[in-house]
Amino acid sequence: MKNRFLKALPVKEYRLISALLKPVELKQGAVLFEAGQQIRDLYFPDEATISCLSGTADGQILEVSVIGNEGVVGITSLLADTAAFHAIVQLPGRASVVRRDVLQKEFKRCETLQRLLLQYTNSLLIQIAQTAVCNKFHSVEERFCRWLLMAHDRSVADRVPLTQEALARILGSRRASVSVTASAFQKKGAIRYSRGVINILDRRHLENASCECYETISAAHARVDS
Amino acid sequence: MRPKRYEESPDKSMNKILAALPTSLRDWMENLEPVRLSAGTVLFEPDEAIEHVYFLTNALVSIVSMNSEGTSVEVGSIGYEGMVGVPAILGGVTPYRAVVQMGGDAYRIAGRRLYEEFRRNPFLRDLLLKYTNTFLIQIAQSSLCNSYHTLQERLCRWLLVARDAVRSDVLLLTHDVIAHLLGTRRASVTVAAGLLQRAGLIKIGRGQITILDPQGLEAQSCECYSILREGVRRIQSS
Repeated sequence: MKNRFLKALPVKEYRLISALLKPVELKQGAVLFEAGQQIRDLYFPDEATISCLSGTADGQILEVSVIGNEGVVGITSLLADTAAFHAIVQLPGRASVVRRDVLQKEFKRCETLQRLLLQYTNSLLIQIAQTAVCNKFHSVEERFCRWLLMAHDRSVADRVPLTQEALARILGSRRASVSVTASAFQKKGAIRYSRGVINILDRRHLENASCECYETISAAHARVDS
Repeated sequence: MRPKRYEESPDKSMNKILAALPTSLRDWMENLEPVRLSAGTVLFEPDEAIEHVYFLTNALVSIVSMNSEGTSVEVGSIGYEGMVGVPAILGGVTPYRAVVQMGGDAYRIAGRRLYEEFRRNPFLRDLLLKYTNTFLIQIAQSSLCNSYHTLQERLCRWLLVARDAVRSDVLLLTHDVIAHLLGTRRASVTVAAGLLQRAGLIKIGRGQITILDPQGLEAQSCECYSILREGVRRIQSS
């Protein structure tokens, strides 16, 4: 059990929720739900990392938040009836799944669980807002670092199995820009990429090259505890 | 700066959330204090605990991110459809500032008091969580907008949102203020506004912009305007 949100629950609540969870293996590219859909299941990732996406009318897609073992996927379905965003498995791995109606019942009656889920919603608000700021002001290099660091935080290993093309789509950048960026960081020894996998070699280098958005988002998620 | 007490109370139903509150909360609503907010008032600062939550009736508040480099951009705006201070009900703080962009009337309540009732009352809780969801979607829309839409489109969107919020065609705003919200330079806003004026859509005055042709503005706006307006309609119908 690597999900840090669940681990932050007190013993009694942890046992209660654990009994409601089922383990599941999430495959890369799987669509968990689409925006506007009624969500049936929520996920607490252990290793998998999920992109929440929004799109424009003419088909441009952008990642608005990334969720991994720091939290829960589908929380907007506890706030309103339907999903706010599309959720796609970006990096595969294990997760725990729970039925929405089951979790909603506990959300309404378990004080501690409710408080933690609301705090997590706040950290998600900050992640979404800070990503908006990042998209406005920061370079593709800074954003590349921010995303890799966030993915690394949510992984169990130092490898991120993602193609540059996929990363370009996530960042709303051109593939060429991501290629140039990745190449530069590889030359500096910060990463090594081969066959669709980005290996993180020097995390500190990425932290120095990232914008402050990474710190802001991480600090927000770290504040979620009982 | 403390908001001043307002003599004639605005109609609470002018705020969509207050209008949707059940009659069982009528007594509790006595806790809502009518206030008048002037432009430029900061309602909460980055990382500050939220002292009061505001339900606007005809003012416009921006949630603004300020970078260490000194640049700023609006991540969300709130009018009569919503509530300023969502983090208060989520039990947290955010690294953003809430500032009154266009002055008007509002109701305020201590963050703590709202939080208590929110945790206790399922009707209030469901209503405010629904709004929180809408607010999250709005912020995500800003993300898309910042990435893909032109300054011209974003300016049109912003002017239309402001017009809806204050229910007036006359907006008391400077190019400088708009530039800070759109995350651009004042000169760029002046150029973009100039184009809209030449097209007969707006008239630029000293410290104010008058909207002459809202439909024309909407045609030039990015889709974010209609999406935001749809968000407002969804709140109304719930």
